[in-house]
Amino acid sequence: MGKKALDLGFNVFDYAGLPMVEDKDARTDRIFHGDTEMMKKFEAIPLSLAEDEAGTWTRIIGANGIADAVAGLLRWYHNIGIVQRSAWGRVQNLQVPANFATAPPTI
Amino acid sequence: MAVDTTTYLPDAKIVYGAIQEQVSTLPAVMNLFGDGSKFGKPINNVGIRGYVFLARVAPNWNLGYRPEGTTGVGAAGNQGLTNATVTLRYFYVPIVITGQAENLTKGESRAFMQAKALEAKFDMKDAVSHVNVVVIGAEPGGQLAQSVAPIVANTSFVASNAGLLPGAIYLRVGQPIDSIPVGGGAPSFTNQKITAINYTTRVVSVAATSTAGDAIALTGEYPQFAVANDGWFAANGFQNLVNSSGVVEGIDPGVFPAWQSYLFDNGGAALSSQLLQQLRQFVKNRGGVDGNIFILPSAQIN
Repeated sequence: MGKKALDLGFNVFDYAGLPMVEDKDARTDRIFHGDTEMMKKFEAIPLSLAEDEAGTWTRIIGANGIADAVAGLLRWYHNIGIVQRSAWGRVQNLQVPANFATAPPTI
Repeated sequence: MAVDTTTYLPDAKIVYGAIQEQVSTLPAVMNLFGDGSKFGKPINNVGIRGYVFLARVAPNWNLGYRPEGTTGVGAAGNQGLTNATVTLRYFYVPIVITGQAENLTKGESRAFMQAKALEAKFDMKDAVSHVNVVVIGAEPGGQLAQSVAPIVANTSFVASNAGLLPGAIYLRVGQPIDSIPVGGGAPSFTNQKITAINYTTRVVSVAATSTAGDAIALTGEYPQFAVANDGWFAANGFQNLVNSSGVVEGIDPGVFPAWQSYLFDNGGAALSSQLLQQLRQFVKNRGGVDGNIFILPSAQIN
């Protein structure tokens, strides 16, 4: 797991031999720990242009009729699932340094 | 080859196709996990796509020591398994290409491909970034913030930080938002752009009137009708999956007490190595598994 996190570009620290992955979007007051085998990424279609049985690009019909523009759709069918809920835990309501409590993560 | 009206859209398709393969290699928390798509039985009913698998929620108690004899040893028990259902969620990014944009790059295939590749890259990075916020940061259903008094009509609301809510840190100036009762319902407003945010006072300026207690979410993402349990439009996230209460994936911890995560409130005290070890040991103790990862915010690494 540590190598995978490194490959993805996460900052990874280490605690007692276990990787600590830093996620900038995580809530400032809580940490999570668990078994990655018990959390799964369910994905039927990755983020991609919707093709279906229609064309990828569709001519736009505006309020005044046909427009000089076409539209497409990126689409992603997915969810995160937990296989065994007790295989994960969290500690919350941790003290948060003031500058983190009021600073948004970067986009 | 020059780009013209016959090659423009196919070229755009190629560019988007090439970029999409990079999504699974971005540092988003969901990419840390293995593929669950082959884990369960796929369901593909009208309007519902997802997977069903058997979650173990109770031990089999129909077993034990017996005296030897011929009177029988009792009924066979169930295996403590029940259906867990992960319903897939639909995430969309609409794209529009205008004739004007086409004319700007007509005949300039290199400029066109570079422009579209850049656009596609940012489209997908923005998509993954938002999904990451929903999965690891937001309240269930994609709730980015919760409004609270003082609310100034057609001017502003305050993003609550009571009850461990995240304040305004997941909101951005220019972001279009909806204000809808927590759990879904009739909106106080929809599709209003945030014009200013004071992250310290948590005052969010928007030309509409919120209602105290409303969920604030990216426009269109939060349901305008009441939903049950984790039946959101949005993907599940860590706040409801890793929790000691609440029905997720159709399993009620009130019925199956084992369907809970360990949850500890630290009362506002600082993180320590002792707490890390406690979390690790409780997961081992409650779940019977050896955890292999900690996930932390930047705020707790300093």
